[in-house]
Amino acid sequence: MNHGPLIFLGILVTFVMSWWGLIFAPQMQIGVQQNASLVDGIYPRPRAGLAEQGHHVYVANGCVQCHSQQVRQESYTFDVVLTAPGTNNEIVIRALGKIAPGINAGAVAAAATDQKPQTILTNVPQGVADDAQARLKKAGATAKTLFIPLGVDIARGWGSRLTVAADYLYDQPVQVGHSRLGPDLANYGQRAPSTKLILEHLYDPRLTMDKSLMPAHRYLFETKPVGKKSSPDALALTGKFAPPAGHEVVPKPEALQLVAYLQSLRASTSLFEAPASPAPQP
Amino acid sequence: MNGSTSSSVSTTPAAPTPACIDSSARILLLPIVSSLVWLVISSVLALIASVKLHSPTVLADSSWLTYGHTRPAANDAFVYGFASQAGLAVALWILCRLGRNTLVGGLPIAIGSIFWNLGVTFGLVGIFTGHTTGFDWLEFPKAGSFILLASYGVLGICALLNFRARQPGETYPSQWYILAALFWFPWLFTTARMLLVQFPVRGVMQLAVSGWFTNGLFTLWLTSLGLAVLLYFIPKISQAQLFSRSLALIAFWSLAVFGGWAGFYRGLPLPAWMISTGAAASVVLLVPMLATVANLWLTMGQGTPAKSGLLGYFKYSLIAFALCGVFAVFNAFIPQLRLTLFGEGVEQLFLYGFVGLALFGAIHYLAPRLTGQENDKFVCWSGMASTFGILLFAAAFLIGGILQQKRLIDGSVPFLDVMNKTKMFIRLSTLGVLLLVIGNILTLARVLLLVRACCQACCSSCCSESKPSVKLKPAGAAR
Amino acid sequence: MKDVKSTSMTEAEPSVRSGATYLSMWVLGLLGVLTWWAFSYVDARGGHFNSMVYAPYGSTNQLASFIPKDETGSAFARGKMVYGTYCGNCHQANGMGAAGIAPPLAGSEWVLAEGPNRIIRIPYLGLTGPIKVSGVEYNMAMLAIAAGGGMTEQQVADVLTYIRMDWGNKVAAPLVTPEQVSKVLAEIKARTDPMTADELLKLPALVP
Repeated sequence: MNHGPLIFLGILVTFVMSWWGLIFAPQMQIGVQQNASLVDGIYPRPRAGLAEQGHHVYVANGCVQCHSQQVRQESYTFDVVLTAPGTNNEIVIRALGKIAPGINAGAVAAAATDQKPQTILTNVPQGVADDAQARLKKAGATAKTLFIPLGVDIARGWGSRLTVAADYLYDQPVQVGHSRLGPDLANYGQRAPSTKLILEHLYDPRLTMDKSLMPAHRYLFETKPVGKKSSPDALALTGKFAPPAGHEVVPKPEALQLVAYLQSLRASTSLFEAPASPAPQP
Repeated sequence: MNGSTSSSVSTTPAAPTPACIDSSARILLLPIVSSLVWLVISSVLALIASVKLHSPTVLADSSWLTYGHTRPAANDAFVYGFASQAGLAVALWILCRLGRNTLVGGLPIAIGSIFWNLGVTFGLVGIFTGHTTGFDWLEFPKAGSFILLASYGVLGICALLNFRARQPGETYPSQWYILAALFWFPWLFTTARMLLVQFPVRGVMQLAVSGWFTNGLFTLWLTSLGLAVLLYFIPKISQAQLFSRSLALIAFWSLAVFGGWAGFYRGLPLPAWMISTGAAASVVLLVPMLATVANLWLTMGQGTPAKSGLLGYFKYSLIAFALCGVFAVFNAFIPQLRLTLFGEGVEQLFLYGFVGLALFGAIHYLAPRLTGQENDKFVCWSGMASTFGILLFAAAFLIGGILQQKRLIDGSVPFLDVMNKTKMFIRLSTLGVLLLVIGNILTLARVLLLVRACCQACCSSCCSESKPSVKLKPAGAAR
Repeated sequence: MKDVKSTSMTEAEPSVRSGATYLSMWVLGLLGVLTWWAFSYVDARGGHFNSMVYAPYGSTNQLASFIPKDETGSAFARGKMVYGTYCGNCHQANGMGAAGIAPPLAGSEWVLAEGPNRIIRIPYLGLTGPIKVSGVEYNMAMLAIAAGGGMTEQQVADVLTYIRMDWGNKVAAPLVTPEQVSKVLAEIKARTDPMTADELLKLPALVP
């Protein structure tokens, strides 16, 4: 350990190992990953122009310091739903009785359609679900097995499945985040309220949520005097949030871009590495 | 002499005395003072950010001062402006003292330091104006980083030259860590900038590079600087020999081998193998942590410390280092913990509690020797303010984070309630940051006073030989 | 709390006690144990270093077992590959065909007919003479690419399912089964001449 070059050699070798393992090898795996080709097109789709600009606004304002974009999943389970009762009602009802003794087989068989699938079994292991599906097929009915991801984030409504590499293919920089001082936004587009409400939230979160800790982003808006008519974009603010008399609050282009970006955030499509079934229609 | 003579060192007759080395290294005051200025700026920004966390309506009209800007600015100002710069300066001084050579390359170091400050300035302005890169600990835009890297090149080469200029003999563990750190930082920084900003890799691969870089920055670069300081000062002030060379060797090489692999935690959208590797590595990294802590703790036990309040700095720094190693394992395995205040708390405990306190102690030791003046003002107060500040801050965030994690895991608690219940802890942490600001200002004040006394002594002795230097202790040789 | 300088401490540099200690052996032992644990942990939880495996899943086999036994979906995937091999050269990967080579399949009313009865015959018998597709008349000859065992019934069924689903084509029941293909094959067993557009139009769209 008394020769600089030898120490350097040792450090070089050990460091190159971690570089190889965590940079080079992953680049060969996920770095070259392409869009997934699914039944209804490629996934993910590139963002529309306004949303892409909004991504830059998101980065520039450091939203990532409070918001994460990573949905976690702890486990999964299976449900079985009936989509078509077939023609032989008696046999189907008998089969249903064997599979799920607790349900009202007659009513379920009568009501089941493709648009209104009826749940037969919930929270069962895969073997049981496959068995049930096979029995119903034999009886002439059509049943589907739904794959249900489970997790705390999913229970909170933050997403319908875990987020994977494919969800971030068009992000540069990827804003996965390191802190949950605010809710997770990976799938925000699916639960986002109207544009107006999002703008009000950005202007001052206390408008829509009294106890919110999110900083007000009033600098994304412009308070200007009202012209002959008020602008169509102007926010409807009342009480202590209202601008001074004769003025209106109008969102700047950055605000609109940011809203478009937030509305475009989605990570719920079922993929090979992250399966998820669409929920049965109510 | 308390048995603290060096072993097997054959000094040439011309080996300079410590006093001689110190006066040759006077230029190191430039990076030290500028790093302390950045320290104060960083803590003020951290205070603003901390206030905004629990009182979001304060200063809401300024786009510069939004939390999304002040938090990364405070972080980067601390890591690049203070920790890296002061770390390099202290490392240079340690290399000179251990190598028994006078400082090589005073002018390049000064130029490098000036441009380093320029780079950090550009970087911070870039963050405030929204030109951030979007990656943690790497937010400086291209202009700032390029200048930073270029000035690091100058400073790094000077450090290597200083290592080469050493007297023949056995190397001391601090020198291994400094040498390693000098190579690790430019590789980490350049790779990260190349693959994230210049020629960005696609998709979540950026997360892999960013995670690898952040881990390297903390576990390799900053840890090495901190450990170099602790391994040098603890035996010195305790007046004992470092307990075991073999323990130091094991610690160093296990850190080198496994240090680069940690950094990924459960739940990230990365393939399972990367997460498992990161989590497993963070467990194995307990070994270098334990080896170093055992080594230094036993050293302290064996020695009779000099009457110096400075040992406190290094002792608490060591404790913080140990805690961070353990908490890193929690972060990697307990779900969602990394994403709560706990994760931020561990980061700040590492930065202020380990690296910060170690460098504060080193600067308080160095400054009188470099300036040749003596001034005990504020050492005690700044030490107490810094220690209590980080204690309060870390405790608030760590405990608040654990409670936040429990409520996050419990799906029945609405998110708004999760955050509102941690408000009290955030308020406590603001108090902690306030104490840190005070401590930092006191440290800066003390060093500035020393520099002022040094300048006055220099001016008065060269301006007129006849006038006696009044009220100043002579710029005497440190014994 | 005076500064060091004013005490009588020497400014000697720190030094190290040489020689190994028992403590070092313990630490080395701990390092060995933890390294062994780390490797077995990554082995168990690492999804065999496959980039498609994310926690909580264990392997790609497990993921494959979750794919719903949805016939239409898998027929689409298989058919896409068949299309690439047999049809894409002329009808193009985007289904738009090319002037002088092949008419388009995207938006073609022949493909979008209620059933596949007409289009099953085309790969087995070929097509000759003028044919109007989306208002444009084409007059080329298509070879009987599937005849004489050129393609299996499953492949023909899959590729016809695929063309009825991709490029924006949407029909109510896109799935074409090998059974339907067999039924049509039984009907045209005796014939070897290529079909013409008029003959095809006389047939029903649905497979009887």
